[in-house]
Amino acid sequence: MSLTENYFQLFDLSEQYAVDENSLRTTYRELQRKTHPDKFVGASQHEQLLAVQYAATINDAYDVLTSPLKRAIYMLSLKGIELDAQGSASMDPAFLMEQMELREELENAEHANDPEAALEKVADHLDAELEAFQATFVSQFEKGCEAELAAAVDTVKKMQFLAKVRIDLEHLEHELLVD
Amino acid sequence: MALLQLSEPGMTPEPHQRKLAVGIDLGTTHSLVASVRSGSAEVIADHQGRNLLPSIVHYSSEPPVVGYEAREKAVNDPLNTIISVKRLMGRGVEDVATFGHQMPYQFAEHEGTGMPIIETAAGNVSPVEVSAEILKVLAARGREALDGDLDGAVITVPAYFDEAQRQATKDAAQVAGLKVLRLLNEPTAAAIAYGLDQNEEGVIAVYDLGGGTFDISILRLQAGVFEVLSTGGDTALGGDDFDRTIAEWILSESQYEREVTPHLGRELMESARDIKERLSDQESVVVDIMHDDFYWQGEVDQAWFNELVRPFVERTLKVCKGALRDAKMKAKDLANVVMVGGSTRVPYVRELVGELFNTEPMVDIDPDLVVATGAALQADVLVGNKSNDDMLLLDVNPLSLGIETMGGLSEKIISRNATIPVAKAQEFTTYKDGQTAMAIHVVQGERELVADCRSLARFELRGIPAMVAGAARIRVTFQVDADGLLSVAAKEMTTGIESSVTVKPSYGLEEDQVTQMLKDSIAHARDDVAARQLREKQVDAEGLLSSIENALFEDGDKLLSAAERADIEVALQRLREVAVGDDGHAIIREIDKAGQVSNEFATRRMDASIKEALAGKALDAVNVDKEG
Repeated sequence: MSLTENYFQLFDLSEQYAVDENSLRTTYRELQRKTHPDKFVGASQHEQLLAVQYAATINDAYDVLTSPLKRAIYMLSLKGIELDAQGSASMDPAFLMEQMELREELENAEHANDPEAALEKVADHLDAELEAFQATFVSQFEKGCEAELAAAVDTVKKMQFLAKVRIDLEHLEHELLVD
Repeated sequence: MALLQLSEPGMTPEPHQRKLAVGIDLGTTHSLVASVRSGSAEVIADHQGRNLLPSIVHYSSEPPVVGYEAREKAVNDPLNTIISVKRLMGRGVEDVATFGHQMPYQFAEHEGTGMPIIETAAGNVSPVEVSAEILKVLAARGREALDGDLDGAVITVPAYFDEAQRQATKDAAQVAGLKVLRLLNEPTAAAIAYGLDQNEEGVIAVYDLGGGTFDISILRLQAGVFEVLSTGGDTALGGDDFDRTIAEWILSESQYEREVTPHLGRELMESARDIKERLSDQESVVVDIMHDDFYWQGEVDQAWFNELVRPFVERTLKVCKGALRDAKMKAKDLANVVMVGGSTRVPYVRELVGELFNTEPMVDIDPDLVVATGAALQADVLVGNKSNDDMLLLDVNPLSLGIETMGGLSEKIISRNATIPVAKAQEFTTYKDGQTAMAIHVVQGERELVADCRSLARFELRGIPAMVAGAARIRVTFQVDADGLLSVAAKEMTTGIESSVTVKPSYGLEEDQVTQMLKDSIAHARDDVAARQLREKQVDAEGLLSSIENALFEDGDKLLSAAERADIEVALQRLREVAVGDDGHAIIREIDKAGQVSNEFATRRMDASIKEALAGKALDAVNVDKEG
């Protein structure tokens, strides 16, 4: 077991999209208990650096494995597909249309009577869509042939789109809170 | 040459001595030191039995005076009596200018550091040095109570402290001659004290309103793991602001028309603090202030006070809502809200916090003592007195770290609330043929424009191999360690050449400036510099020896061949021999060698422990199956 192995192996998991959050958390804590820099305060400098490096890698792995979007991107990268190198997305018109509607919903929510509740509704809508895309990704990824993997890349790009809207929504919520 | 003594394989290394460690709460208005003695953490009081040390330093032609004695000088000699120095830590001269009359001191700029220095009767002092004076008194208290030199200290900082403020705190400890085991976030320290005391499980909020800073942290407590889910705060908001608002109100009521001298200003602040404290348990109080030609008399009540401080308390509540959101929690998910910091004694603060979280806030533990107590518990574990198998702290990075990109925008590299330690890499390329250097500006904050974020440092990468524009791929790794401090490394990926990184902190000291302050400070105390430095090296050597001996005892047989083990034993023996001598250079040399020869062993141990963790988990799963 070492850091050169992939995140699934590091967490003793088989390489599949579905993960059990509770068991992930248990493994994460056991790994941190062994590698956290707090365990190496009196150790040699090399050992202290090593601990920071291991603990940071385990933190990153946990972050990737628990995030639906990051996990999908990571699984593609294990197949040698780097999302950034894939050029701009060829979004189908229907999806783009939906995006515009979502953006509009977001703007309306901002000016609604109860903006917090309205934003919550948009958030629910977004989360439902994200979940649907996750299912699509899994079926495309599992088929594994070139055409399906290319489709999976498109799906992840759509997920990225939605995730971006989600972030903007959270920004709005934050602003509502502060003002 | 003396024969090398090798210990029998598998023989227990000498039972290690109990180490002396303290936890220090370096507060805006008060500071404390605590330690674990006979199993429980206790605050160490001064000779008069007082737990708190006012964070006040008075400078004169005599050696500086700290604490209550300094506080007495505040009204008569305000310009030489430094109060609330924590507000200046890691701040720049232009920040200080915005403090206005809150800080009556004469400021100048510390050459080349952007740091403010204060002109006093004892010469110019930096905020780092003022804080070091406070730390020295606390350290001395610890040494006396524990009867020996301290092996290390955990020092607490507000969770929302930025990089420069953390670094300044660590520098102050170094100037005070303290070995920092860890910088620990104040709300996390409180959670440790509270969690271990109450054996609580579940999600809790720690609301920490001190003299000058506010923090809120949401934590999950489970089976000895303290996992911070989110944190938020304001490093310039606290009880001092309550006092100032009261003082300003009185001043305007009094219709006093002459200029307010620093003396009168101090007197009004003292009266304001007194009014605030009395109103914490009285419905109304009569006030009578006389100072030179200033006179005001009146009666004020709680309702009046609540109205005055409401804007400040409401600001904290907004931050709390943000932290809950970041933690993806609702108020109803919380098992408890723990109140920390002297300002949570104000009934109105308790009332509004209780309303927000819809629960009676928890005030069982003295809000002044809880942070130092938690720091002492952590120090005891870190120094190795207590096994840390049953306690694990997972804290977060409070503010996003980014770099400046084209158009003055900040590109986030490490996000806020990321669990530390954390490392993220980003690739850059050159834009000119043959370019061998590049500059990177690191900023901290959530805003998109660099101008709205806090400038942390500028890095220069040198030694990039000359290539055509865009061919070089420089991978820059940003790493935040367990103290919340940032370091940067860079490597050109096509050639594997490491670029050198020079850090120029925006507000702070460079390594040699800290060393110089340490020397000055020791010279002042007429201590023997050389003896102290030698002793520090010997302590390092002893620490390393016991750590490697212990590793050999636990895993030497499993993970090393006889020859590898012999190499390490030889290096240890050499270190043991020089460690008792007085040749500091030799000690450093042998520490390096012992470290190097055991590097591979350390890596194998780390990998083996990961394997063990996973195997242990599998075993647990089997056990659960059996039970089920």
